[in-house]
Amino acid sequence: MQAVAIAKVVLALIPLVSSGAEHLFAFVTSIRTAALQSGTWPADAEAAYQARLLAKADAPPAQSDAAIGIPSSLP
Amino acid sequence: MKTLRNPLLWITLAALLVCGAIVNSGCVALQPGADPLVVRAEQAQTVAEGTFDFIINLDHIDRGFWRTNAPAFHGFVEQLRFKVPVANVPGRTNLPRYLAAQWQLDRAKLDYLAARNAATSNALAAALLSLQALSDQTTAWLTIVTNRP
Repeated sequence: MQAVAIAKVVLALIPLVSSGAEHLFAFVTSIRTAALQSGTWPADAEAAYQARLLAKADAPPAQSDAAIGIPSSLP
Repeated sequence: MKTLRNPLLWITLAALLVCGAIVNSGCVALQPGADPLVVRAEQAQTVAEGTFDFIINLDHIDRGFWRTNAPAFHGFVEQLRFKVPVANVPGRTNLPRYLAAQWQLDRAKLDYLAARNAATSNALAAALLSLQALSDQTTAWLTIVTNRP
């Protein structure tokens, strides 16, 4: 029974770990990309950056607790 | 042999390899004609984007957990999500604070590229410092919440 319980916990944690690891990898990659940058962004990179910023504004992670139905934790 | 079986050793080695890969990449020389101020701003934009995405998603994965176990951290992330008024954003009058800071720097950079003068370079430097401060605070919180006391 204990093994089943542990297996259930591990299965429940896998999506959390994989999601966190993906963003950690992106974070490390961003530092490396910045260190290797030698010139200014081309126009398409600039447009893609702006589009990414605006797209993130509507994504669930960017919404406050209150906006997604959780009582606000801000003072 | 016992030492080799210690997972801490392997974790430390892996961390050193990752750090080495970052540090050894160094800072490459700028291409001829590249404006150092613009390149510096874009480097800050790249790092800030990765930092903010990491912390926002880390908190979003389990808001209840962070809210209960690290309320100060969750409160900081909520402050990053707080919507602030913005100008010059197509179809929007406000953006979450962390996106607004990135957008402001981008606009200041584009204004500077369109007309390089003292006013636009000062505005770009101010926006760069502002984003850098927010990004540094975020990195400090990442260090706190991803390490055990």
